Amino acid sequence: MNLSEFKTLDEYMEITHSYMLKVNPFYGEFLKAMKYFDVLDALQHPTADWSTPNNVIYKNQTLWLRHFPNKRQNDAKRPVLILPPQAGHHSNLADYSAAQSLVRVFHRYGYDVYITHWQSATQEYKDLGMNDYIRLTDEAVDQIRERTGVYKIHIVGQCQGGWQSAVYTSLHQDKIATLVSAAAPIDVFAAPSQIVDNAQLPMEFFEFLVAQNNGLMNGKFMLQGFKSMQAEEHYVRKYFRLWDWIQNNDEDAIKRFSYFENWYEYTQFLPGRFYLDIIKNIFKENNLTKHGAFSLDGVPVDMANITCPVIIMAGKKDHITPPPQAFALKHLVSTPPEDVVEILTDGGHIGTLMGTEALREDWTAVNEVLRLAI
Amino acid sequence: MKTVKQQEKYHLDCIKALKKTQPWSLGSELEKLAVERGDHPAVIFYDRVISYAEFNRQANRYAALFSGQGLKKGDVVALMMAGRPEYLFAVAGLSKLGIITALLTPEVRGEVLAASINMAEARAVILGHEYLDLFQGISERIRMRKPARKLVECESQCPELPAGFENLGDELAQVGEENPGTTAEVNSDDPLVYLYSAGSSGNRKAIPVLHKRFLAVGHKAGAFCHMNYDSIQYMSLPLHFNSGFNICFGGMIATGSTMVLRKRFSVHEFWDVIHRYKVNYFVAVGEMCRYIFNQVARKDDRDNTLETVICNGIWGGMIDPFKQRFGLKHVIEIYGSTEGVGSFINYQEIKDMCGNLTLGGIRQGEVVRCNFDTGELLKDDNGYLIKCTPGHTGVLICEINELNVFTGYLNDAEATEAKIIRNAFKQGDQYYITNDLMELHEGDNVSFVDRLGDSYRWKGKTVSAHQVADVLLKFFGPIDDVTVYGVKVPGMEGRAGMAAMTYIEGEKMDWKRFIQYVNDRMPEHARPLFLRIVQDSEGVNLLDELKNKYKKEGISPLTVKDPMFFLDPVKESYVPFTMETYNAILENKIRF
Repeated sequence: MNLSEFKTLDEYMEITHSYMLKVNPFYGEFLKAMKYFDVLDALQHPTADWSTPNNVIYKNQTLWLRHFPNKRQNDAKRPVLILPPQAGHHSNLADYSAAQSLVRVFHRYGYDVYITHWQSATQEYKDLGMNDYIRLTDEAVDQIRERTGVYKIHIVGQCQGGWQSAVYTSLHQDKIATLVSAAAPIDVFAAPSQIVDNAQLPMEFFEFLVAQNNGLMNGKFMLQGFKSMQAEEHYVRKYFRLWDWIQNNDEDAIKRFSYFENWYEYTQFLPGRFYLDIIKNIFKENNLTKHGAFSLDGVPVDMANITCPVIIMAGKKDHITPPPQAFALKHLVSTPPEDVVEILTDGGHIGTLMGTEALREDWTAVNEVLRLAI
Repeated sequence: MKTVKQQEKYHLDCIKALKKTQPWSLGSELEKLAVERGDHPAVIFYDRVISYAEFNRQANRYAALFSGQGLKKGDVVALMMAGRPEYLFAVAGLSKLGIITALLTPEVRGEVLAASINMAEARAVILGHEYLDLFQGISERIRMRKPARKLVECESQCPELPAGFENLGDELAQVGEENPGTTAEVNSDDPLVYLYSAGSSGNRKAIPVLHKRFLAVGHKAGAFCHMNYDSIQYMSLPLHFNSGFNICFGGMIATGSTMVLRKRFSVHEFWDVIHRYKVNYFVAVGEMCRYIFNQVARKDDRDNTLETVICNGIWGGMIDPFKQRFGLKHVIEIYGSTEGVGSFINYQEIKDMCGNLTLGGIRQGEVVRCNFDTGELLKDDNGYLIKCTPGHTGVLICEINELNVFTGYLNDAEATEAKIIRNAFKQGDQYYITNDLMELHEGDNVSFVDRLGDSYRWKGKTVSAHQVADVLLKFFGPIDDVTVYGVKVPGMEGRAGMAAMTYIEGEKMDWKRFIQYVNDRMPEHARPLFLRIVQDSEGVNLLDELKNKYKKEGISPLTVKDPMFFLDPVKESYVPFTMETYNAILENKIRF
């Protein structure tokens, strides 16, 4: 067979594969195995990107404030600021994909959207603490207020961004119209969870983790922690599923798997001090439930200072933040009970934050309630 | 006892008198009927025969209950209940206090229903037990004013009610049934109810209906549509419809006649009801007549008591066969809108017409020239609108005057203003723009042609294309953009919904979830019957720009090259729309 007889390399490869499949019964399995490894190999270098067009409008330290202009319908009274989680992952959780984007949900309801895009910390910022992140959040809020001329904005916190939003609102209630706290740990002892159990290890253990990276907390460590909570799923089952999809030629499922794993495996560094502040105040001492038990820049943090309407979301199957931990916020705020709305999704932790069903069924409900807020 | 002619003159005089504020209201008329025709049946609901005196007493209980709660003139109570006598008692009773009843539309779901309730700013809601689940499903999105009572009318059943809901029957049993002193404080210019409509564009809006309009429409039924003392009407339209509330209920009150009330229309029981109660009057929307006509012909089709059918949107070609087959004296086509400016009644029964620009000596409106693509009204060199001449089609505009009041849309000044044109023919005049195309005929008769704007009528109900698109867009997932419009379906009245959609690149539709979503969020008449997947959208709002082109292309697979899907009424799911399906529609093999 002369290579020059083929017009393209693809044509040559196709003929070769047909021939190999004919003479070697195991060749088909070999091709599938190759594909299996190709898929996993591509995940060795995960990347992060945003799905919705946006502009960075403000930068300071680890904060990049991104504006997602609503080009279709921009008629809501107030803008929305989303605080994504800071648990070692990229901030693009709120804009995961074109089809699965919280930004898109808010846009459909007429909101202009802003997101705090937290940068991976470098040595320069290893000593930023909780107080600094609340300060940076305040800078973001002020930027939005100045740009829009709106005095009070809606703030939406996802997971770790949820307690951050709650703390921020308690300190700056005058700037927030509505607080949305989604799958956020508030009273970590309200229901058992492995993440809280793990956090009860001696403080020295966490300090050791931070010291290993010269004062930074490596997101990979946190990812390993999350994975260890569902080890069989993360280290065994999902690979079987991938193999099944390859066997069944289910390209859509393979695409979804690759897309999610790329996001999941992408990690970044947190300032060590910030990480240790969280472990101590939130997960060890449960300080959010104690009025004024800790202070930030000299101001006591007290959830009772929150008086605005509050929307609390939690996922039925959330093993990271079980619903009672999230819904506990309602007992701590001073908001009248009729202005506190609880939304229980059918999903787990990530499903609640960005799952297709949660976006369609639950985040739309958040938007509808939000529109009632003055 | 007045003769029919005397009654018609009386109604005409009342209509003219209503140009000025009168001390008349639903409550005052009901109290008058309770004295003058106390024993006459007002409402017959299955085996219940409710006289005017009893009707009034029941209404008084509602007045006493809500008055005791501190509700007063100008307050709003929302009402969502199937067509039962209690519905009418509630509206009548509340009206005696000057309370406005917001007649909710239970056909809409979720967000849209919650928005309807919220915009009314109601202080209480009355729910039929049949809608308790529907209400609970959206309760977290509902905001009411204090005391925000939620009362459930349980229809003599005693279900265990969820926390926060009260049994209305228990409450009513504890109050008196005397006429309240407040009835006289309500006059014809006060608002009676809020009706909801998509209008001709945008989201659903609440429209205040004054006592004046309710009574005027009722008297028009008496003056022009043969409704009188002795009429027994079969009423199966939803009571939150303009025709159900204003024509049927208004007509009953204005004439003191009898209403045979049913929760819903059933073609199978139609003639049984007519025979059983000796019904001689029926108000319908177009499809109802077709359903009746499509029944297998029987030898005794003409052996019935029915004399008059009032119909909105009946297909012209059906009127004569319908009339002849069932031996009817009158089939009268009417045209109107929920906004209620202008009345058009083809009382002379001229073929294919839906009314005349003049009714009872009062000019109702004009047909004016327009740009058919944009709907823009054309003006002459002096800046005035140009009236059409017979044989030409244009937009119908209705004069706003002391009788034809346009109350506007509740808390939506922008939408209200968009429906008004000022200085149309002379300085100082103002007209309501219907956005409906009419053909003008000799003698100022008019016939309906089509609807401009972004709403269309399907199965007798107005559908807001904007709202349907909004619901579809919120399916998210693969849908990038949507535009919705009405398309003609051969052999059917009105227009069916077509949604042209673009997908996000690389995404696929989960059809099972999609149909579930559509069913959960939209009433049957609003669900788009056709979907068109447009491949080459180049940007935001492109689809809207192409809407007119798509509209003209209709549903024929010969003209539409994009993939189309069809909401199969048997499979209850979206299936590819093929030439074969199209032919089946043409051959009337598919029933909607």
